[in-house]
Amino acid sequence: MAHSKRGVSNTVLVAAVAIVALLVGAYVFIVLQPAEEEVVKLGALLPLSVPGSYQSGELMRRAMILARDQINDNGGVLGKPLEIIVEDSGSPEKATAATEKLITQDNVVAIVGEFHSSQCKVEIEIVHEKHIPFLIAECWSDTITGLQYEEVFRIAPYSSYVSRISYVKFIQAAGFDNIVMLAEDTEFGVDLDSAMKDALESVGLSYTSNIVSRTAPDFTSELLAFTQMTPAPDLLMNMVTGNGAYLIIDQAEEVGLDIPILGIGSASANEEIWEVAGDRAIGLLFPTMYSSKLEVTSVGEEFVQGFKERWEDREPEHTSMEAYDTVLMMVAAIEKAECGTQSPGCSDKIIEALETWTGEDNTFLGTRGRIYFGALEDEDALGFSLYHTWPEVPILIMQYTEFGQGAGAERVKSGVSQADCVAKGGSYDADAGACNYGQAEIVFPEEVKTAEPQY
Amino acid sequence: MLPDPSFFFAQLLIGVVMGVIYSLMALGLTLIFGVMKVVNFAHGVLYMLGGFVSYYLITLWNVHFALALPLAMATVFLIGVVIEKLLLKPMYTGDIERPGEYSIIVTFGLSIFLSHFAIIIFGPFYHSPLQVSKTQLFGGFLGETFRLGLFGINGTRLYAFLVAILFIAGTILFLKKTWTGRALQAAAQNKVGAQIVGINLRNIHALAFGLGAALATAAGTLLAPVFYLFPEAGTFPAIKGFVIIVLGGMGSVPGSIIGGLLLGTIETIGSVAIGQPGLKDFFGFMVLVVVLFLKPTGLMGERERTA
Repeated sequence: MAHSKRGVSNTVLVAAVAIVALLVGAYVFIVLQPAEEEVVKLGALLPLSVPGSYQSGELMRRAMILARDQINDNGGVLGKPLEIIVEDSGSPEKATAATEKLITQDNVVAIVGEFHSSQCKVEIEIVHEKHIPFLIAECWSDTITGLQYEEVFRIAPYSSYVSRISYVKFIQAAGFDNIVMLAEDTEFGVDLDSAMKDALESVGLSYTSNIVSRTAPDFTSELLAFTQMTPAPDLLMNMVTGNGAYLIIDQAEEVGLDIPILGIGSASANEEIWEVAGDRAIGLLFPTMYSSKLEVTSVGEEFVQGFKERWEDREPEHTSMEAYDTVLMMVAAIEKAECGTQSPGCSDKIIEALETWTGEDNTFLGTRGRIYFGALEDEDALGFSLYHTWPEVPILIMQYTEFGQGAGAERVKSGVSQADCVAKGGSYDADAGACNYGQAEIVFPEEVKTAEPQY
Repeated sequence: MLPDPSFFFAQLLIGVVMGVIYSLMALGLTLIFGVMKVVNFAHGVLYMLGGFVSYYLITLWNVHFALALPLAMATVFLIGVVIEKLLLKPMYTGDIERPGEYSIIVTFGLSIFLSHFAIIIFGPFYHSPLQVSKTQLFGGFLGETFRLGLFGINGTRLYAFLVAILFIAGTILFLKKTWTGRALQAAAQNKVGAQIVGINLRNIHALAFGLGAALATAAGTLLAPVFYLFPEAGTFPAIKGFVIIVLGGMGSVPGSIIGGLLLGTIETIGSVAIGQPGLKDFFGFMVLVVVLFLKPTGLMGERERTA
């Protein structure tokens, strides 16, 4: 193999540059790296790339940054600054590598976050093996805490609870009889499909579902098949995260499936819904865990205000609140345990601290209420496990009744002309130069609803 | 029990529309492979990039929806030429021992870089130019839904379908009827022979990559209001594009058109026939396996001619 002189000299030059860059990088890393004991390291797992729902991951990351800064402004944790090391868990493979890295390389004291059940499922195996506390923000699959690993806690809703306590009761109250669902082909979708089937059949309602690819852009064929069912379906449940959450609204109209849609919470609450689905999102029903129409905790008020100030008036949705709560709660547990470095003994103390929040007088004040964890003995009575799970996650069913509404709070947008604002039903504030599109209505539960649902 | 004929017909039309859209997604990929023998792993990000160029032309600079298409294509054509000149040129200068592997690594790396870069530049959220542009064509055509029996199609998808047919026909005519098109075909068939008759291969490769990028942009622009725009919007078109070019025969433009149509219709009809619409991908890959088993070069693929 012959090399030209130019080729050899280029190779030497590239190698020399690479070595110098490595040496400089290593020097900067060593010099700038704070000593291990100077900070308390918390790991965060969030989907920040495909096939994960990185839109939700990014909003959760912003909430965690806000929490970190607020904590550090108030003196940090155990007198030390809090460092949150965020790793991408966009797929189960990435989640595995990220969890291993956080524990073995970064030596985090505990881990918080996560959005996807498929990722949670691999992560809990690693934290269980390494004995690291893990407080989950949004994974819904029952099995996540159903395995009863002592390291794993969850403040998110979970499939059995959502299907039996929230969805089925709403469906019965609204009088829907024939329910169809498109569920994504993930741990979350498959688990929720199974839970909904059990829950609806137990009350004698008809249920048909299709498991679809989460990353597919076209669902018209599946939706057209629903139009041919006898008896005709009267509610479409859209349990696909990411792009599908919006595409299905469009495509149901396209194939003539003109029935109410109960969408997925995180995507439906994002303001992008008005840009991509437009008027077709009017009438959409969706679950959420926060509405400013209800009393919000002091922590919730502080969070919403801080989030909007920090992130250009963007309204936080409930997954951001969950992410924020996981940081606050884990930090409180670390403070309680008086232990901020990674060790089996420290993990035991943090787990013990988390387990002290058992309800009644022992609760943690989060953004959406007083958080506590259920115990094993509740399982027999309910038929599903509440172990290390917040038993009473507040779930509201909301409905957009006008174009442009916000989910959790009124949506105020600047840069909209007065004519466009008024034409879309908003109210224009000429002094502020902003359009107020109003806010989605709470249509369930009965005791807190702000409007009757419109079908 | 056989499905209702009108239901079957509606599903067939859904499949045909998706097939034409698939063909458009694969057209640029085919052109680049045919001429350059480069498997362009950056095809998906060029689709996404083109979509975002047209989106910002429409929403920030109020460019008309129809005019944004050629402007975005021209922009990404130039980006494609620059990519070819900067990153792929070493394939032909003799400095690289394994040009095939080099091109895969370069385009794959470019794909990862641009998709992450897009998250930083464009943000992680979903976008569509529809709300701004839906009244711009034929008095609100894009915002309407059209019905034929059970089959329904919205204006954005119908527009993408019709313009995709024009692009496919235009590409075939360009390749068959113009000197430049014939030069591209000559380079695709036999590089030594093409050079002997005076074709400048460096320029032809840059042109092919630019045209491939422009065709990816056409798909990205037309489908932005249908499937929306986000940093990973190109992943699905890229995956389907690779299936189609293998199915139709690597580098064959007619093959990619037939492959796209076959994939679109079989995915839909196959899954409906067994009553499992969610199994589209299974049928798509099954038809690929069957075709490759019967004809390893793909439906219209040929063995490469060498001097």
